[in-house]
Amino acid sequence: MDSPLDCRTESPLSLSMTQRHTLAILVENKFGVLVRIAGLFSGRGFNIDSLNVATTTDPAFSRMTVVVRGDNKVLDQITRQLEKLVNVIEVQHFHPHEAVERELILLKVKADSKTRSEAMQIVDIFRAKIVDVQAESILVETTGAQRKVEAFLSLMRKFGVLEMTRTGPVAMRRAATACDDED
Amino acid sequence: MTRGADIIVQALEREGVEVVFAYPGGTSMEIHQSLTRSKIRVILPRHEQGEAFAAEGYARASGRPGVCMATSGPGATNLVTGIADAYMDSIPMVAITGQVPNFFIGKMAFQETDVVGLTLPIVKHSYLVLDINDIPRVFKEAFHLARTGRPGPVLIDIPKNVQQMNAQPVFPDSVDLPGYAETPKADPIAIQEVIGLLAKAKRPLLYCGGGIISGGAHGELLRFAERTHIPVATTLMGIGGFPETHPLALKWLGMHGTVFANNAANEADLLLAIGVRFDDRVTGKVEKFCEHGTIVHIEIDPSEIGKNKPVALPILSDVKDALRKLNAALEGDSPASFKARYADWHRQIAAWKKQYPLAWKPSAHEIPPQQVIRTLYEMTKGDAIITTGVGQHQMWTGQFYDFTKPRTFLTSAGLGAMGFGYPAALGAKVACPNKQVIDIDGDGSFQMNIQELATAHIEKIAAKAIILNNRHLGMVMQWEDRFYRSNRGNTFLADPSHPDKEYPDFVQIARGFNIPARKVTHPRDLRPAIRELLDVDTAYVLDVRVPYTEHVLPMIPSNRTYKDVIIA
Repeated sequence: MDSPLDCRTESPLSLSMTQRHTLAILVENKFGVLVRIAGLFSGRGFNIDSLNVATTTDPAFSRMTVVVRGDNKVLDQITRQLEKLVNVIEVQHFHPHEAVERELILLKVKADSKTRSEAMQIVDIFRAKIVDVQAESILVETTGAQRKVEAFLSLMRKFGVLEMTRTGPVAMRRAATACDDED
Repeated sequence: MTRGADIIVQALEREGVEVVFAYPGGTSMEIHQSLTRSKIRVILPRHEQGEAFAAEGYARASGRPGVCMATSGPGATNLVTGIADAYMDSIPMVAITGQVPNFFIGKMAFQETDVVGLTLPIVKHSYLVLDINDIPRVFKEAFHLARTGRPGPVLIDIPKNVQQMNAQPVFPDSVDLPGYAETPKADPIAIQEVIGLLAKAKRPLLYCGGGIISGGAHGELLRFAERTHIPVATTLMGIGGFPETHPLALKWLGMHGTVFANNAANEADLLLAIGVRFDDRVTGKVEKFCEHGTIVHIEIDPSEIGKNKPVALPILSDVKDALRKLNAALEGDSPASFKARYADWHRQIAAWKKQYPLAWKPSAHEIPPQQVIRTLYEMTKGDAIITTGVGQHQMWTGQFYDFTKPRTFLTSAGLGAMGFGYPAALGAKVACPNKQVIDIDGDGSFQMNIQELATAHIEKIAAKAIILNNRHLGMVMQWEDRFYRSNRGNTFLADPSHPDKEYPDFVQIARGFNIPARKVTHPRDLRPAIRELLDVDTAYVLDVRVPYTEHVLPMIPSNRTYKDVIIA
């Protein structure tokens, strides 16, 4: 979308698709909640980048973290309509730096006797963890903010990524005085 | 121990349900069996779409939730249009569907559809009841949700095996819905701000919608308008929320609204928008709507505030509470001071009213459709519940019948669902048996649920129908005339091989259903025919031949401004 020519063919909605938003949604832990929430995004052509759900300390409730890209105004509308859903208790819309975000990634890369030690060095530097070793590959787990995860991934790519799965971020609003050791 | 189907019926009785509009089938027949042992009246429609509209008509006329019930699969999918309609117009409805047994769900069983999934974007909330012990709570919640806050449809889907199980029901006294917001009340500071704006304004206007009616705030609105001497324009959904015969009334605004209402809304310096949603059919080009005015939006639903139009002062509130507080805050002020302050504005509005009245050309040989409605208005003295289908006749009904009470103009406004009129009239008549209920319909719309004539006859529901028969899909035809050089794209509804003959013969159809009917083609026969329609104590169909050349005017073309209005 760098070329102005491309923009003309895009709908106004997709012009600002690059804007990234993190929403934390507290919901009642009932079936059908996920599809009600997802429907408000899909019905407007919003793509969900990542979505996480798990129960809170109270098993009657779940917390979702949703990362979407899209227009601010439309997202504001979606947020209000999310709040209207009967099973939704609270919606928090995090602006960058307001929240601590972490994601978990599992990565299987090629590593034989020749490359394994170099790979292990990078794993160490990033405080990642090797959870499985095979003759031709290692399986690595790491958590962190998206930037750290991306940096780690780019360094590991040269070994040859065999398989990857990532959770997408979970987020929590930080207290006013807290700081993120990774920022 | 009580059977699931009996628990369902007990739950309905506990909610005060008096009537259910229901068409049985394999997965809902258990509940019908239980209903045979209940005092609840079951009205058997002839199509599930008809029952959904009838339930809506009941709800719109009475303010109580309309209840409809259908079987799984096709029964459920036939309800969908009515559920969507209730959602768009914020009508309280509880729709119950039978579902295939738990162990068949997801297996493409006979007559299985995921109706909860199908209706997700068009319900206020929905339930799939997999546990018989949930039935009492689910029904309590469903009725609470349907009728409180911004009303809307709630769907309850119940598998057949759950209906057949036995359990000891525990009926809760209250609901526990942690994610459902309490009805908001107006912030007193915001109320004071409005009072301040009133003092500064020179050209204020009240723009009032369906929220006035569902919020039961028509009395408060009348008081506020009379005290402040501010003119009132309603939306189509707001019709009846303010007496249209009142000197302050500008009737309704929007695409086919009065010129004076649209001029006033767009030239107002203070627009008090109450229980409205700035719909595109009201605003036209929304950026230009009331471009230079200060807008105050009083609204119960936070997701409506700022949705279509940014406003200067949003007030999240039940409209009745806000108007009450406004009236209380004005207690000391004299109405005379407001009258003097806005005198120039009223002179301007009076000039517009004089220059652009709603009117039609009389004819010696043909019956103009507008004249039918005006004649009906005169002969009923405005005291009737009127329903409509969707199209030209709907707009003319809004224009030429003057409504003075809430819940007397029942129309599919947001969804614009043809076929709404007659089944809605049935529901309204069931809710208000002592009122004259008349569906003013088009020949196209009427045919969409014509089978409900059987319901009227069998259930002895004396809802009347007047068909403004122009043998065309009139509103689309009007657009063809205005914007497509009259090229007809499937808008002729009579028989093209005999274009001069009436088709279908509505009188003969009505007789087939054992319902008295009459056709009129000449103006001199109109009054006697309407007299007959009003006098019979059964259902009645009056087929009025009207010229297809009439257009609904004024008209602001889609996404244009009030300055682009077409007057002739």
